[in-house]
Amino acid sequence: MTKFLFKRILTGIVIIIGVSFLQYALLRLLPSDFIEKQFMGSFELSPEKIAELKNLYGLNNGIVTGFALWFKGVLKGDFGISFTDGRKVAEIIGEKLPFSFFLSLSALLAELAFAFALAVSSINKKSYKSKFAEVLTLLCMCLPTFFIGSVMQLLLFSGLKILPLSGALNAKNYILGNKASRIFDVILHLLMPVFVLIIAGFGRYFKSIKSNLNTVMKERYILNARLKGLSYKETIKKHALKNSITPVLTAIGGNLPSLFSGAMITETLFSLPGLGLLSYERLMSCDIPFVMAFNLLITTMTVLGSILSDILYAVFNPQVRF
Amino acid sequence: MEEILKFKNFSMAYNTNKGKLIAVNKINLSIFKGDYIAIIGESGCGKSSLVTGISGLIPKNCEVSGEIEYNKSSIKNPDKFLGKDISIIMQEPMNAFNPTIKILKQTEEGLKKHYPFMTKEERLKRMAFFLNKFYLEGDVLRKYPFQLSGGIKQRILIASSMMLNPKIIVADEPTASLDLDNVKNVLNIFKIYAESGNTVILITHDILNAFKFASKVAVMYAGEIVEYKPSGEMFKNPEHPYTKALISCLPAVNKNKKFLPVVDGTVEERYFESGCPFYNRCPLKKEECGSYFKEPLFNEYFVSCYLYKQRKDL
Amino acid sequence: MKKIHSNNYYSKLKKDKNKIKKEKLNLKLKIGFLLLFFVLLFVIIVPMTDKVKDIQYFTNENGSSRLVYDFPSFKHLLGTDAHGRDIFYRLAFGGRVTLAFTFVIVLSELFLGFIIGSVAGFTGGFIDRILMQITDMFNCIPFLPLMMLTAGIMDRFNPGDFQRIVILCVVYSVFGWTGFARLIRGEILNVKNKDFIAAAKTSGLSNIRIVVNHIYPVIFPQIIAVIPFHFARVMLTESALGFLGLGIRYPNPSWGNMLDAMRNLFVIKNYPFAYIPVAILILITTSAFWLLGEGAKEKLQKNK
Repeated sequence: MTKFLFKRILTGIVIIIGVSFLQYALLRLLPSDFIEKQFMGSFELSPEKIAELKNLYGLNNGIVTGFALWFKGVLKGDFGISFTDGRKVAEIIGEKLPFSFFLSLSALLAELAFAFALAVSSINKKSYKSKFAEVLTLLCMCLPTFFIGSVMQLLLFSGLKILPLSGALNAKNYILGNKASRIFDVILHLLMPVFVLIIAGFGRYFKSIKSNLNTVMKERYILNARLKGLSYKETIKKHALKNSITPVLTAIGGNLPSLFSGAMITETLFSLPGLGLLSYERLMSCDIPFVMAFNLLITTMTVLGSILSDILYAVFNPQVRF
Repeated sequence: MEEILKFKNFSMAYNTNKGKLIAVNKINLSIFKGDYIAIIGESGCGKSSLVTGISGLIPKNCEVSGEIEYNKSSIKNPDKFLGKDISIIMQEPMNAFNPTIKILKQTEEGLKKHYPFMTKEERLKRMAFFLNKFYLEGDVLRKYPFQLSGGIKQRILIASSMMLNPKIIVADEPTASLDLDNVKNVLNIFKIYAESGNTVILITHDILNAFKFASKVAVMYAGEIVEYKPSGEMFKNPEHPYTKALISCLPAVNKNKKFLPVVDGTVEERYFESGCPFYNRCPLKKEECGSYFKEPLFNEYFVSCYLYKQRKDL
Repeated sequence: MKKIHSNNYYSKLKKDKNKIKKEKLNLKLKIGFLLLFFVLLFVIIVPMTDKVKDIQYFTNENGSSRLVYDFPSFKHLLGTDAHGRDIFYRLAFGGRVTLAFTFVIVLSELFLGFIIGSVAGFTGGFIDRILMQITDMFNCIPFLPLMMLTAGIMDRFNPGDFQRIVILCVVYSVFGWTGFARLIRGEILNVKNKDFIAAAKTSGLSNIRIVVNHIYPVIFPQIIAVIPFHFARVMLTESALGFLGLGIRYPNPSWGNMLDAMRNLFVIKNYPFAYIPVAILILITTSAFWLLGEGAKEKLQKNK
């Protein structure tokens, strides 16, 4: 078991380094880079100035040297300084990351809970309720996220005027309000984005949970559990749920990187101060340190996610352990 | 004697592509307290469907007509009596356990539900006691189902049913994967259980052991019970042609012959409701057998054959 | 007594045989095909009326300027958008672009994934491991940031319209084949160890024969069940990118493109015709693909 983990971690590190190098090479090989984007439009620059700027930003080194320098910095913990505003990349990401993580995590948990509840209520039934649930899932899966978001905004903000439009905190509350009212305000602001994320995201979990549940309910041990006297609800709780959770685990592992990268579209739509919006702004301008750090984060999370999936799979399915 | 289980015109029919497949056809049977009944018959004659019918967990494509009365009230809600009053041991041991949960937790479930006031030590003691009865060691509880063989799992199933001290045990082929020693042990334990005032209904292929241990035997064919008599009598005087054929196949009866006779053919699927089910294979059939209507007989012992319809002493 | 025995049995069987319904396509497949057919009809026939000018230029033919966000009228069936372009015809032309784009991407992803997955699945061992490592690496690259980078590059470079679309296609497919590769490799591994392959081998069939005649027919249904879902996903991604401004751009219309009207809350409130028809069309097409996928899956399960 530990040997297996060790091998996976090793391969993971290789993958991370490989992907980072690929990214760096790609960024450096781009015909246009940061300097041209930021400065060429508004300023007239002489070639010497350009060379000076390039030196300043470290864009004069060869690709391999540049990557080695960056990697050395990373090992020490220094992720470089962002081209855009000169702040440390680690600081910038560290500011916005908790918010995105919190948003995505709560949305994920709510999606899973909702998908589970819906799947359990439509096991093996051909009633109108389960057909309705299927149609609902179809609709939710087939609409683009931003469309759902915009409609929500229209309905709940412009129409019914219950929830605030965008941002995470009301300025007045931030300055004048006390902690409790600030927390309440943040929650109120986050309700719509989380809701949008849930609607857009529960569909794929519902599908896989439902098909797994249907398979599991036909197994003999469910029948045996009922013959021992357990009620329908109890058998589902104690036996069916545990055995049909495997696709969810794989999905969680696969979704780990997106927990950290933030829901770009939703954050753009609702102007939430998260990592998604930030990266949208920075990536367009080829801000190399930021892009490298961001990609490093996501690649690491992807690798960790798949390892996590494997571990969870072994926890829930003892046959794998032996 | 107290009547504990009564089948009143009980039938089960499955809806299939080819029509309504009749699995159990108008069974009328009375079972009393302290009975040790064996139901024997070929593969496909509806024995397992009968067990499903008793349990009450009837699949959706199945229509049930008639009634089963337990303690003089009809069975409606399976959750109320399953496990404690009627305990059913299912056929296949290989898939009977949840592969992700240890055996201990799975066998404890029944005890926890029906005897909620037992402490953990009492439960463990009870489980160990019953497992030992079936020649199983206690550390089988710590394992996962995929680490155990079929025979062990089957004995665990039987033990976990008996632990709950039910009034009726319905066992569907409990000795299928067991070696001879264990077979004798299990059937003996059932006998002792029956003698202490409970009922055991045994469904099996093993005709010889059925006659040896059970007190009453019912022979089932194509969903109908064609003969129901005490085991000794049935062995000496089988009356229904099918029973005669079955008994004549046993090695014990054919001690000196080289080749054992067989009952030709197999049980057909049944889509019609009346007429003797054994018509096509019966060596003694008559013209009228094809349209023979079976009347509900609540006599304790009966033979359901046209040839014996006229007998008044049954 | 009536004789009900033998005659009844056989005649009943005959009657029941006629009752057996032989349904080749279940309901979901039918609806899916129907919806898709209508969308394709719209997208293929309407642009044939050669109204290209309507969607690209801001002025009418006689030189008068057009109204911006004009409400639906007989002249412009669904009104005009933020630049005065007719929405109805933009839908049709944009549909062509979006559908063709999606189709090409899915095909190239399928092709790439098929090759890599097959090679990995069949050869096994060292090559398999390396290919899977490569697949994992490509999997790790986050998609949206990549598309942003591409858009950034194209900003600087200003390639022609067609070249832009081609670049987008290439970038999409090069980083999207991992799903298919994994799936195909997994299926091949599943089938490779089954007994009938060993039987085929011992009976002396050459390797290629085994592959073509035995393994692929078993795998195809599984893959075919996944493809429509992939179509739907690529379409939705394309619309998301169009919304962000990173995908297909002016002057090419595309459904994602047209949805950028939704960036403005004022527009959403007052000019619903600017985005609702597009959203409905996207919904219909995506649902059609989704239903096709679900129907194919159901049929597969029944056959099993």
